[in-house]
Amino acid sequence: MMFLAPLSGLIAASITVPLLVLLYFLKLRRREVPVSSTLLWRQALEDMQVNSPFQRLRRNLLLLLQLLALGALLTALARPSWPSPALSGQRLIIMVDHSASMNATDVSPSRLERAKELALAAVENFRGPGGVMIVSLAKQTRVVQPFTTDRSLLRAAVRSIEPTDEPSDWSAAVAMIEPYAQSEKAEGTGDLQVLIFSDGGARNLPAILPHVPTELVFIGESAEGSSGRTTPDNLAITAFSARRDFLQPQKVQVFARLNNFGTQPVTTHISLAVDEQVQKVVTVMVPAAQESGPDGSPGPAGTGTVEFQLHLPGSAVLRIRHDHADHLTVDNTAWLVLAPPRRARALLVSSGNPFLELALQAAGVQELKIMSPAEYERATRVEPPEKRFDLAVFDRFNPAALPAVNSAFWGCLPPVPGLELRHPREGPARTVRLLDWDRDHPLLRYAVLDDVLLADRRHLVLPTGTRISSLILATAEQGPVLALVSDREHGEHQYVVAAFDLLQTNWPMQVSFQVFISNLVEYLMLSGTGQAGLSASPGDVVTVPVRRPEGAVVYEGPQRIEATAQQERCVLPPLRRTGLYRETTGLVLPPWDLLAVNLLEAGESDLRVPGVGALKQGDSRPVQAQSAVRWSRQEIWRWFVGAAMLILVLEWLVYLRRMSF
Amino acid sequence: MPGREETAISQSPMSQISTTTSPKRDDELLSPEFVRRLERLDILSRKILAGRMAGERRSKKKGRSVEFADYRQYVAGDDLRFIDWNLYARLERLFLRLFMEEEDLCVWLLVDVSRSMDFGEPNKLLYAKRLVAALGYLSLVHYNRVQVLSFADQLLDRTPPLRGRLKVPILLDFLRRLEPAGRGALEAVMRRFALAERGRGVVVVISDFLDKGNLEAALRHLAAERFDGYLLQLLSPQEIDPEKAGILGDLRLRDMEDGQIAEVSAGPALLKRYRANLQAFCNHLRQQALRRGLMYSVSDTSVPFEQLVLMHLRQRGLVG
Repeated sequence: MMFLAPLSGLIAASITVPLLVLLYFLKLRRREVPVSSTLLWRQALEDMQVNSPFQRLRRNLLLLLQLLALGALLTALARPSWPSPALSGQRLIIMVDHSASMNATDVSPSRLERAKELALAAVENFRGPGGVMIVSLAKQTRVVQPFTTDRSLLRAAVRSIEPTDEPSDWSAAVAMIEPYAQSEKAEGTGDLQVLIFSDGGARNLPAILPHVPTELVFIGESAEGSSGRTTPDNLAITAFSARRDFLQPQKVQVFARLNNFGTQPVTTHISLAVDEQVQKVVTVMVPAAQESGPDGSPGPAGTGTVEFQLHLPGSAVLRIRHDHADHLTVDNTAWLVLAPPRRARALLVSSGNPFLELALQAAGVQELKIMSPAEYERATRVEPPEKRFDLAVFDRFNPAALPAVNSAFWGCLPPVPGLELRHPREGPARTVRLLDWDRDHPLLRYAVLDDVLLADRRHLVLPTGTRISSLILATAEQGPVLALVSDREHGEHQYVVAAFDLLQTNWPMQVSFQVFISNLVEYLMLSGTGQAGLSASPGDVVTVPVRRPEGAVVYEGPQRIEATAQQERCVLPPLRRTGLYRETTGLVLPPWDLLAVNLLEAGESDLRVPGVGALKQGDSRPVQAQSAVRWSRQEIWRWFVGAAMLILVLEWLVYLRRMSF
Repeated sequence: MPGREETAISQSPMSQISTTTSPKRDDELLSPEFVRRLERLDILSRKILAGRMAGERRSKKKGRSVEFADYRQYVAGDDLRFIDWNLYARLERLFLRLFMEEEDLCVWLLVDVSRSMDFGEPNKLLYAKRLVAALGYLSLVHYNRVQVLSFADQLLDRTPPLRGRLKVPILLDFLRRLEPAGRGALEAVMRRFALAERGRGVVVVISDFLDKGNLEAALRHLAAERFDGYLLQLLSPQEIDPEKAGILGDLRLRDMEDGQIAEVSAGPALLKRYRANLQAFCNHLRQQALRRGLMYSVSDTSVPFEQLVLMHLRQRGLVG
């Protein structure tokens, strides 16, 4: 036997049983007094009742109770109903977005709390036998509660969803639901429904939602109000970087970008602090965002930028902040950990490539060690030689093991599962151009690749799955030819992989090659930031270097982070809140003993709730997206029948009492 | 509350209810000082009644005493000594002088010994015994024929007819032995008494009259022509003012006679209502008594019983 609501039963028992016992003993506790006769006392009691102001009501009490019972039964016959969220089907997946934008206060107390309220209401109203599953989504999608019909567990699961500063990643959410959707599709039962509570403030709100009936409930000011464009106010810092002068590293250029997503221009003061001391304050006017497009998609945000010049010979913590009060505070401040100026030490493993040698030296490396593949293999038997360097470059040589530092591969591959070099199909030899490249990526900043020709027409096949993260940097007609790969299970090192032999291209002759190599050195030396300032994003898994191979690493800050060092690195758990973290055990090598975590995500800071037209229809089943929960009517005649029965019992008791007088 | 003209309300502070109802000595019932004062009194009867023996009571019977009563015409055979010759001289007709004959008075003293009488401080039953002792004493010393009967739900016990001062110890001994017992059933008792006693005389019923039966029917039996009825109602201070007896708050009141329970929340409103009901009850009893030619008096047991007999009952005409 199973109890579906054991807690309710226990609460009711804990109240009623002691109450009954108490009433019983209270009744017994009347003091008994002998009197000569109760004749006059009974008369007095009856007189009190007769003269009571409610006597008339008492005389008519039976009639009143009968009328009430009849009224309740007649009401039940009329089949009364109650508005409730439209929840049908056998199983329900409730997804609650707890990304950074859900902390906005345009909805009181916050969008997330409102979403949780609606989720709790959905839990209470769902009657399907298959149960409900609670999923939280931000940068990571997590099943908070698997399918269950136990409402107390579901309520606890919803309440346990805590706010984060992470950006949302809808692709992960869709990927999580997809197996259930496919199973649903295969069985054809049509029993699964998905209910998503979100503000839609996602950078990559998918155009296609899963192939099950999905209801996307938008939370936000423009969603809660009328269909008009009531826009929440948010001025966000969406970019914050620092770069040291190449020739005079003590000179630091600090750059910040602000985006205004409100309908009114904003004039605000931007303060820049170095190690908690405010150094500069400037006033910036950021124009308002533009109107939404006809399809409901938000118009471009207003943009403002600031730049600062600082003299910082050593490391420092930079903080930038604006003073405009808006609905989301997580993006009002940003931090950077400025690493001390240092020139890289690089290892080049090549059988001879003067272009690479010259380019690396021209990139300002402090030391360039060149080894032949044979020398490298010999040295590897003792210890990986790249451990002494900041980065390694492999030219036409596939190392047997993953390098222990960030590396670049030209015409060769690191031993990453699923990463392949694929040769072109049979055909005449010809050169190809690059079709597209990621111009915004730090590696390709300021690099113009229009005139790059490739005689080597191999391309990359990138691994899939969650273990290996990969980013395509450049694509030719045959496929991706330049990519950034990282193996999460092996220290989170960054590997830049080029599918082509550099000597079979004209790139070394181009200015963009030197620019790229300079970017590459800086990027790999600073573990992928490409800047002098270090920061991470909420939800990122950060790997930090440690002094000893074993020990506990503890960061104190907006949240406490604990991890255990393994070998010479420590992989930290996802950082959920923005802010500055300080390592307290001394185990972490500087500058990683300070972690700056910033949102810097325009898509997440854009609090404007997308209109209905922002979503496109996916599969054959229509996707419903609306600004309010669709209500249906739930019949409640059973309650009236129950009330009628209770009134009849009460009427019977009153009647018995009267007969006993 | 009973009317002021009928009783004096004690001002003495209330104490806990006493259960002492059986005095062990005669002087606990009648003090010598009080007895001396009693001897000056006698039971009075509003109706002059015939008795069996010549006592100190005037009877309506015309007999051979010194007190002229009436005339009647002479018929052959009458005693010539009683012809009024003055009247013959004036009217030239013969008339006989008739004289009042002194007879004894029958006094029945009915004392209620139901459990409700065993209540109060001072105890109602003890008070009743002392009252009966006083009335019985002054009846005996004036050669009235006295009989004391105890009753509850029926006539329980009685003395033999007593006459004369020498029978006082018997009276007192009987009273000392009386114990509270049983429930009250006044109507049945009065009916039984009226059927059993065919004589004529004074009937004094001493009770609290807190009877749940038909009081009117009970009084009807005493309304016979041959009875000169007196109702003496005794109430304890705790019955008159329950608040002073600690009847306040949530209580279970248990009837001492039948054990009935009344659960009350005794607050000011209920106590006020109780006192009003008590007043109404006594008034109703008085009206019923008066309607049937009975004398009614109510007394608070905190009134010194000597005061009750020497003053109050004299005012009411029971003693004089």
